[in-house]
Formats: sequence, structure tokens, C-alpha cells
Amino acid sequence: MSEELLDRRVGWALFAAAFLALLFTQRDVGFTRDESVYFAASEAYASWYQLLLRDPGRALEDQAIVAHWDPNHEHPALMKTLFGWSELVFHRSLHLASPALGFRLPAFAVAALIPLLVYRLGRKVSGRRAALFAAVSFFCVPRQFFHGHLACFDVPVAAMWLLVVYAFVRAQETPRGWIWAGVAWGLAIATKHNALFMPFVMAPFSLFLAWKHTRGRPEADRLFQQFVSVHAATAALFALLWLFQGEQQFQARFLALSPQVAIFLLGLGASGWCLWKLRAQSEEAFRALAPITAMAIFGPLLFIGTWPYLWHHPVDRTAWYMAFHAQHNHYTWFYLGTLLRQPPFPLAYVVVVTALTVPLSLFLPMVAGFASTCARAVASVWGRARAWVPPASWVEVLVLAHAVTSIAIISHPEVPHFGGVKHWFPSMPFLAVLGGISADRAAGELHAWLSRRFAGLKPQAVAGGLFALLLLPGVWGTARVHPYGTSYYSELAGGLLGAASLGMQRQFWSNNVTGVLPWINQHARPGERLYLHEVNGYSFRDYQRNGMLRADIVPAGGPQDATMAAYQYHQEFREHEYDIWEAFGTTRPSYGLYVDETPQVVVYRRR
Amino acid sequence: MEGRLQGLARRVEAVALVAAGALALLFHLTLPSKLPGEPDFEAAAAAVAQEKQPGDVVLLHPWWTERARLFMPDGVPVVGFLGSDRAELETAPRIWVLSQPDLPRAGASSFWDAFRPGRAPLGEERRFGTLRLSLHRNGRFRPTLFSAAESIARARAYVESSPGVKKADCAPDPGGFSCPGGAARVQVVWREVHFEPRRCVSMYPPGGDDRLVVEFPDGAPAGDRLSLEAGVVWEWAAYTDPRLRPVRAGVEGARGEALAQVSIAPAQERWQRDARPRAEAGPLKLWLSAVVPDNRETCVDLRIQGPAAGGGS
Repeated sequence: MSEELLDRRVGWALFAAAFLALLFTQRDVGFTRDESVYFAASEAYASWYQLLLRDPGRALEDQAIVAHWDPNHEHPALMKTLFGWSELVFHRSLHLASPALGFRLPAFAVAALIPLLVYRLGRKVSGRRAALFAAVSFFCVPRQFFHGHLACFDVPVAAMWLLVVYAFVRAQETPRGWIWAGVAWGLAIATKHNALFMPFVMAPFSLFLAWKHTRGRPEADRLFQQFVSVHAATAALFALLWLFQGEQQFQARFLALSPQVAIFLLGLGASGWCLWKLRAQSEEAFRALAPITAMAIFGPLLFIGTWPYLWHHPVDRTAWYMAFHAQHNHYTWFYLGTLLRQPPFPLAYVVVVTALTVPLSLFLPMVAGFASTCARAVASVWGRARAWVPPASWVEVLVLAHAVTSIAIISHPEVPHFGGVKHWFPSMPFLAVLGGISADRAAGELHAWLSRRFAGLKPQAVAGGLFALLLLPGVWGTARVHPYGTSYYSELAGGLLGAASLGMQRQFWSNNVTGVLPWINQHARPGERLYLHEVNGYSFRDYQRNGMLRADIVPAGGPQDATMAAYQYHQEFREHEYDIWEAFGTTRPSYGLYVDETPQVVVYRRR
Repeated sequence: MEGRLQGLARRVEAVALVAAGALALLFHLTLPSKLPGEPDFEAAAAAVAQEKQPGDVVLLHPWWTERARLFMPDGVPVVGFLGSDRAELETAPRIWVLSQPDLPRAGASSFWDAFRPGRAPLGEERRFGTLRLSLHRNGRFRPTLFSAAESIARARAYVESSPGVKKADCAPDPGGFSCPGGAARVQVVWREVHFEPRRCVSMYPPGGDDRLVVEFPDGAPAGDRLSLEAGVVWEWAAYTDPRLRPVRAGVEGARGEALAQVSIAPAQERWQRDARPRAEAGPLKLWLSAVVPDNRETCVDLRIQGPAAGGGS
């Protein structure tokens, strides 16, 4: 079997294992507040596609589009469309899955791409052992495993981000890879807005590689410079238009026949012409630059093409979408004993939270791999450092850059800091690759030391032992905390208990309520009015229609309106529990979900 | 030289990774043995139930170990909130400390450093599995001779346009008073001030220069100390809206003389307290004002207290 074929098989085996692991552990995972909103939006989108088949003329009118696509139009449509189609097929048509599983199946499939892609990318910078460790380690981080279950966008955008980077690397090796890089970015920005930052990280590598390949080749170099000039001129013309017209007019006049569109098409055309000419001079330089042009083509096409809500008003509605995320409100978050309410947020927040939520035995290899690759990256640009460490390849530096990007963006003190760790998930697969390099290097060192005492000891045996030692705490932690993954804290934090004493957010977005639903089902009177604090109406409905909450139980808007209440323990919501005390005339709970002693969900009954 | 350095770095990396894996596994292996079981809680609760006296409270260490609330006997409040290690617990003559010192980052020594001053142990510490139960005499205890929250049924409330100039009477309603216009009102409720739950007189200021007054015409007994505590409730206390001005709360005697007063600046989240010696019995007027009343609901705890129990270690 060829090396490539073996790698392909290993990659797909990892995909299958991850998919099955998510599938077989999904049933108890509760619905986060956002997930139930996405369920509802997905249903609406799927019903639009049904209308499109029945009555395409009416479906394509803006009125019908808005009626179906207005729900949750603050996020692009690709994943929700897949969720909706999947529920339509697997639940409503084939009756093979519950509604929730129907929605979640595409999320599992996209999440399962991560181990596959980590492995494939890992193979570009290291050996098979390191790549395998990296791939397996991703879902041994309990919070990542938990989020992999959700029909949300945080793990999917991490997968898409990784796909773009892998496609970019592959584009340097294959003649048509540039097209797939463009398509991958289109899918990424159709998944979540994080991916809009990607060109700023990809372009320097593209330019560096093109510069390297055109050095000493005057004609190729001239075309390369023209390519750069075309992009610079396009950017400058857009900037001038923006300055002269102002933000509102720039947006209002961005019509089909407008200077804006003309500049974009001219830029794209000139860029394409340069690339076509360049390919004749240097295939390598073409492969370096073409992915960027492909992103400019396929990005908008897929972003708008998968999102009918934009079709009648692409500029205005895209501008609204961008503005929504640029001005996102802040949710209060508990961090080291302080409630973070408003920016500026602590600069170290992301690094500290990562350190406290990634199992120690996986975090340390990430840090070591990151540090050693940094040193090698320095050596690749500073000759004197090469005396100390070998230089890094450009792919290693690319991995390093993407390991840092999302963490750096979210670390900005003005960026919203809610959502636990999920907002910087796109960094984590790359940190896993770096962790794999470190773990493999340590295995080699350990083997060298042990083989002096135990002759005949195989490197694979030592690596297997070390990898098991490093991965097992993550697996253990996952098993211990599942399905309450947002509550996981690492050994460095002292587990969830240590984190509670440190003053860290214990959970978020209400999914832990599943821990008390069986008790409620058993003890609630027929038709009892139940207040599920922090659980929105969509989630309440989803628990009932998925058979997790009795159908006769009636949702209550607050404790005054209820005879039973389940409070979600958040430091920023303490007064809600005291409101229940007041309304129910008792401070004594009837039941509770206590994960490793920490109160998560506390149930009260009216006296 | 560089080869040796690289070799050393690789060895350190290998040792660090093995150590990290081993320590992490050890953590998971030993964690279950540090956690209490239901029988432990039940046994501790039985001990408290058997020996409880009026006014006793159970204090949790670490503060967040609230599962105990499921088990503790009725009539014994369970205290555990962020900062409760340092709580005075002035209304409790005795404190049961239910501690889990073996939990990771439990911080036992800092807890006892904060707890011990003014307290004296009564008997030996008892163990129930991983739970430790110890009883302490609370030297910081002061008997409550009068509490505004408990006396609200005998109070009347009104709005004043300036001190002593009544503008409108507030109508009694279940649990308090509603004032004309709807903005100002008085309730006795559980409220949170900087994470601490307290059943207090919740007052919504009328705004402008007006004062919301709760008057206790029957008067309060003479005591050793008059204690006025007030805090803006919930996250409203943290608001930094530039329009906001300080909330002021005060207590006046029969002749309108100021007996105590506190001021709560915007973004001041903690309780503000003014405690003064007081010997005289007589009527009391509790008042509250805030120029901008939005989100200025204030939890007010007014007490006349007896002498401190004193003592302790």
C-alpha cells in the first residue's frame, strides 16, 4: 500500500471514528440556547426549499424569502440549511432519527472532518505518529467533544477554517487545488463570520511563496508585481470611493451597475489575466497566488448563493450582518472571581481559559510544540538562529500562524468574551498539530533513553504508551463530565471544583438542565407549571418534542407564574435564585444537578 | 554546545510530558475519594438537627458547596455565597462550619484565617466521610432588638418632597407599600447585593429631590448599636451610566435628627454601612433618595442591636 493511500485510509478511519463517537454520545446532550434557535431557523429554511420545489416563482419573491429566512439572519445559512435538510430527510421522511438527531447529523459529519484534516495537515509537517496523536487529541479535549455534538457553528467553522488551510497547502501540490481552496473559503464564510479574517492570514503566505518562486525570473517577477499592483489598485479605488461617498452612500450605491461592481470585476479580471500569464512562466508561482483569486471568486458566490436572504438585497443585508457582529453586545462572564461585564477585558483571558480547560497532558504538548515551532520559525528568517534550531518549513509557519490567529482576535480587550472557549476553536486544530509534534518528539526521546536499558524496545511501543498516558486524562475527563461539557475544567484548574473556587464560569447556555429533567418528569404533577431558568421557549419545546420532558408540563415565564422551577447556577444570575426563594416561600431546594459537587441546576417546588 | 542544548530541551520536554500525563491521571484517580456521598451529608445534617439551637446557621466551606442545602434541617439557614468566608453573621450566636477541606483549591487556611477572629470552637470537629463539621460560638453575634424588615407590618410609608415635607402617602400592599405614580415602592423581599442574599427592605427611590420614607411610629427599643446597611441590588449596582448619581439612605429620630446615613455611588457594588452607638428608644424614619431613580432599587437593612457577644480566638 502506498504512503498516500495509507494516509487516506487512516484519515477516513479517523473521520468514521469521530462521527460514530459523536453519534453514540449525543442523546443526553442538552440544547444550548442558540442551538434551539438554529433548529427553528433550520426548519424554516427547509420549508422554503420545499416551497421552491412546489412553487419556484413564489419562493423566489423577496416576501417569501424573508418569511422563511428572516429567523436568525445574523448568521449565514450553510450549516442551518444542512441541519434543516437532514431533519427533513432523517426525521420527518425516513423516521430514522429524533428531531434533534436529525438536525445534528450534519454537525457530526462536519465535526468529524477535523480529525481527518488534522491528520492530513499533520502529515505535511510531521510523521504519521505525530499526525495521529494530533488527530485523536482534538476530541480528547472535553469541551471540544461536547461542542462537536451541537447543531451550531463553532466546531463547523473550526473544521472549515482547517479545510481552507489544508486546501491551500494542497493547492501548492496539485494543478487544480487552487479552485478547492477558493471553494473551501466560500464554505467557511457561509458557515460563520470568523472565516472573514482568513485572507489576512493566508495572503502573506501566498505572496511569500510567489515571491520565492519568481525570484531571479524577470518575466514571472514582473507578472507577480502586476498581480500585486492590481490588488493594491483595487483596494485603493474602493478606499477612495468609500472616502468620497461616505459609508451610507457607498453601501446604497453598491448596485449591479455601479462603480463598486465595476472595480470588483475589473480587479478580478486583471488578477485572472495576470495569473493566466504567470502560469506560463511559473506553475509554482501560479499555485501560490491562484487560491487568493479563487477565494475572491468563490467566496462571495458561495456566501450569497447559499443564503437566499441576501439575494434581493445582497449589499444592504450583508452590511447589516457585518455591523451586527462588529457591534455585538457583551454578556456577563465570570472569570477569576470577577464578573466581566464590559470591555476592556483582560488581555490574558483567552490564554488563561485555554490553560484551564484543555487537559494538562494535552495543553503541555501544545505549548511545547508551539514554542519549538516558534523557535524554528525565527530560525527560518534569522540565519544566526539556525545554529541552534533547524528552520521551519513554510507549512509549519502557516500552522503556527493559524494556531495564533483566532486566539489573538478574541484576546483583543474590546472583543466580546462570552461563550467559553468556542469562539477560538479555529485555533485548536492547529494547536493539536503542534501538540502532536511535541508528543512525537518526546516519544522519540523517551525511546532513546529507555532503549539503553531495555534493548529491543520498539519505538512504536514507547510512543503508544506515552500517547495513551497523554490522551487518557482527556478521555477520562470527557467521560466524567459528559454531557455537561461546558462545565469541564482541567487538572490545572483543579477540575470543576477547583475552578469553582477560582471563580470561573461553571456552565453556560442552559444545556445542563438535562440533568434534572428525569427528576422533574418523575415528580411533576400533571400539567404542572415549570419555570426553566435560562432555557428559552424553543429549547423547552425541543425537550418536549424529543421526549426528554413530559408533554403535559406547561412552561412558565418566571417563578411567580410557576409551581416548580429549575435555576441554572450562574454567578451573574444569583438574584434569579433568590426570586425563586421569594416566590416559592422556601430557600430549600428539592433536587439539583451537582457535577463534582458544584451546583449546576437547582430545582425548587412551591410550598 | 547547541546540540547539547537541543538534547537538554528534548529531555526536559519528554520528562515534562510524562509528568503531566502522570499527574493528570493521578488527579482523576484520587478525585472521587475527595467527594462526599449522600450518607455523609445525611449524617452531618442529623448531627446539626440533633443539636441545633435557635439562631444557628450553617456556613459552607468552600462557599459554593451548596449541595448541603438539600440535607440540612429546616430552620437552620445555610450560608454560602462568594465572600461568605468573611461574613460577620451578626444574627447567629452559633455557627456550624461544614467544610470540605480536601477539595482541590479549597483554600482551607485562608478560610479559617478569615473565619476565626472573634469565633471560638465549641467541641471537637466531627468527620462524616470527607465532610468536617465543627460548631463555633460567634463572638461577632449581636442580638437583634429591632429589624426594619421584620417590623414592616407596623410601618407607614410616604414620599417627601424635602425632609419633613410630606408629598404623598404610599398605600399598603402585600409585603410592603406602593406609592402614587408607581415608581416608588417598598417591599420586604430576598435580594442580592454583591452576591449576598438577604431578606431586606427593598426600596425604589421616587427620583429627583424626593425621598421615600418608611416610618416606624411605634418606635424601636433602646439598644447598643444602630446599624444601617444598604446596597443597590443585582447587577444594577455595577452600572456606570453617566446620568446616575449616588443613592442616599438614612435614618432619622423622632425630632428629625440624623442617626445614620450612607451614600452609594454608581458602580459601588458592596453593602455600605453606618453603625453608631444608640441608647435611646423611640420612633425611627428610614429614608432613601436618588436623583436618577432608574435601576436604583436598594436593599436596606436597618437594625437596632444589642451588645456584641465578644470573645473568640
